[in-house]
Amino acid sequence: MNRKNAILSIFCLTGGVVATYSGWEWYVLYKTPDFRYLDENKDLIADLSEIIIPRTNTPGAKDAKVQETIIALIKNTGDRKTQNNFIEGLKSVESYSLSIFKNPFILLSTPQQNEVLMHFFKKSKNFSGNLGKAKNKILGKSFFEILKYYCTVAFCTSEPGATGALSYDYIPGKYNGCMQVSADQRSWATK
Amino acid sequence: MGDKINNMGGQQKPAGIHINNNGQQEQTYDAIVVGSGISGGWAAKELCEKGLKTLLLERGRNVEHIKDYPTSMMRPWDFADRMEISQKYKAENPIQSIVANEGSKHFFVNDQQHPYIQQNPFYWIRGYQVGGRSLTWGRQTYRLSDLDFEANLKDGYGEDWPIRYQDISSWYDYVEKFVGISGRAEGIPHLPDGIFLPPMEMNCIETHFSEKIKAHFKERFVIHGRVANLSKGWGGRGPCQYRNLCDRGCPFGGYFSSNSATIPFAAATGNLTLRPHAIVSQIILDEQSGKARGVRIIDELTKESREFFARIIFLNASTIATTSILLQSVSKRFTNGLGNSSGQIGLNLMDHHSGAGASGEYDGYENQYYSGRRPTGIYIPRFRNINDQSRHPNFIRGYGYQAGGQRTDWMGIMNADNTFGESYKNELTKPGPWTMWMGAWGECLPNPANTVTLDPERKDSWGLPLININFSYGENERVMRQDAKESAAEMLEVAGFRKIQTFDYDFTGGTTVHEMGTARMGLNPKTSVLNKFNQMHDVKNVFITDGSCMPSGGCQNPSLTYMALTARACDYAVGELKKNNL
Repeated sequence: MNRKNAILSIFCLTGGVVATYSGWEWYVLYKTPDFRYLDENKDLIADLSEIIIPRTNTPGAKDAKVQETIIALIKNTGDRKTQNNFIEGLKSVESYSLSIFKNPFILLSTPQQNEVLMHFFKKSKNFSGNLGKAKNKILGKSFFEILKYYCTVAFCTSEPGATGALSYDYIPGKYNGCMQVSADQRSWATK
Repeated sequence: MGDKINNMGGQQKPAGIHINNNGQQEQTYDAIVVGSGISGGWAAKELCEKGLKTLLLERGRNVEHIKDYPTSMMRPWDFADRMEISQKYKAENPIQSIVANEGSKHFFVNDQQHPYIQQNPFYWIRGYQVGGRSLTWGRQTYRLSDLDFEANLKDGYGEDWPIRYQDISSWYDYVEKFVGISGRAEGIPHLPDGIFLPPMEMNCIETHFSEKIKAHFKERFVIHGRVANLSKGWGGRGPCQYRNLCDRGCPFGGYFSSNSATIPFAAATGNLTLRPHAIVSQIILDEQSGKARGVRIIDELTKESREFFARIIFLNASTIATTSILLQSVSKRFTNGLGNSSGQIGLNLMDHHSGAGASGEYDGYENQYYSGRRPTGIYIPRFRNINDQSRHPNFIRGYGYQAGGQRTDWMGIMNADNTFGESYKNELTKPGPWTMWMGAWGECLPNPANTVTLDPERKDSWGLPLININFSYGENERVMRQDAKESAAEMLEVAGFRKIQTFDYDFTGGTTVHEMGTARMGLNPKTSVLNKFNQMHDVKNVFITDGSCMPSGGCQNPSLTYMALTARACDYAVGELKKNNL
């Protein structure tokens, strides 16, 4: 159990005394988010997104320019914890890439990039059950969860995502409640 | 935008519409209607069609059908925030943001500009514009029955309804013929059939669910949602294009709203004058005759005060706003509010409680899917306390479920415990397991402790007193909710669902946006505000036919009943006018 887990366990046992958490980490959560860092790291966000939703025989995250949307959504719709957790997460991706592969993330090979993201994915799974709920409530969602959420929303609501990877009908005109479909049927982009 | 737009139905041209927006216009009309939402639109249509020169007052801006639906044809990627609500909007509009989205938020008020006081949390969701909330309503339309009309008398809560089903059934017919309601006759006594367009069909899992429930339970039925969306063209509107974007306003006229239906018909008579930006501050009483002479308004934009006069007044400002207008209308005769000799105005505020139920997943039908976006779901009519056999030991009255089945889509899949990369993308873009969601819409007992009053000191930007809402649900609703959760889970289990989860989202007043009950009808003028024709006992030429007239709420979505009561009251009022009784 790492330090954060240990602290969260104490939270759960004692009913959550905020003061036991270090001042520095609270500052990181609630400070004014560094949007310039976000803007400057558009390529990093694009590469991370492409690992989450790669181009296959259908468009991928980069084809949908999700990085632009992710940045807009983080700025406009994310709360402060989400904004800071995401920005701090990008920084951690950079430092982790440098420490393991001696290169910034965008210069890594695809397998290396996958390995880095797997590290952050596993990190997001450190909490489960009630501990996970408490963690999200107190510290906000993890970097991986935020990235996955915004990347997915940005992709599935984009034109290439909705029409190329999913199925989108602008004006259906009729409703069919039950029809036979083939195994490669794509799911609807909107409901 | 494609051919479909050019060929669409529903373009009722507001030909004869007069806009009254300057000081030089006529000030005297035959009738004044306050509020242009779902009931006010009906009052204007009926009165105009009966030949009365009618002034329709609306406190907000004008919204013209089609022209003023700016987001209605936008695709997901046309929205900067992809239909999510921004933090800025949420911070400025903590109440409206509960229901508004990026595509519909222009049809909701700004919470900063329109403050009110909550003694307990109460979400007052409002749309101050021509058409009001008829633009954004849920469109579910169910009749009340004598189970509802007799409920107060039988169990002693609230005032007995002065009418029974037979008094209103022909008026339900009348409004349904105009509105256009998709549904199916079922012969269920406590959920009377209406006049229906073809129903919007069930999908595979809903049909499965319906059959399983029918086989297992004697008195539980799964029926098609009855909805004011047009399954075929109707009265020059529609049909519905199955886009399911109704709350943005429909350029096809695919659902009923004041803007698409009643106001254009009122205007076509040449008798309608519409005045937006007119905030009614008071009903003016003629102390000698004891009748209302007209109304005083404050212009929303210039804040100037003006008066308009008429022989009859229909108050359709929506429950809470109607109450505040009455309470603001003090005079020598009525020191505590117009027509308030009973002291009942502002008491017994009700909503429906919703958001308790269950959901589950189903294994099977993997090769079945649906196409089109149906703007409704299925309905399970009330099955508790409908007769002696169905009596529940712990609560009175009941609830119905609104439910729907779908295959899990990307919005569900992204929250599942999955990784990333090609496998994730594959999962995201394929139809996931079938799921069913069912939530109860339950009756709220009339309780005189749930009140709407005026703050004695604090005022809004127009100098009008702030409205103070004191509402909380009681034990009966709480216990009913528990049963609704358990029964939903039980039904899903019977139908073979797994991963069944019960939920209880939000038990806050106002959530369902069905405010009712603060100027109730009744036979006794000492204990009620309106008579059986929605006419004020105390002020004979004032009629109130919005949600405030309801002595009880049933568990059915109430708008259809407001419409029927409005048409009925208009018929009576014009008859009385002709007889010189008003």
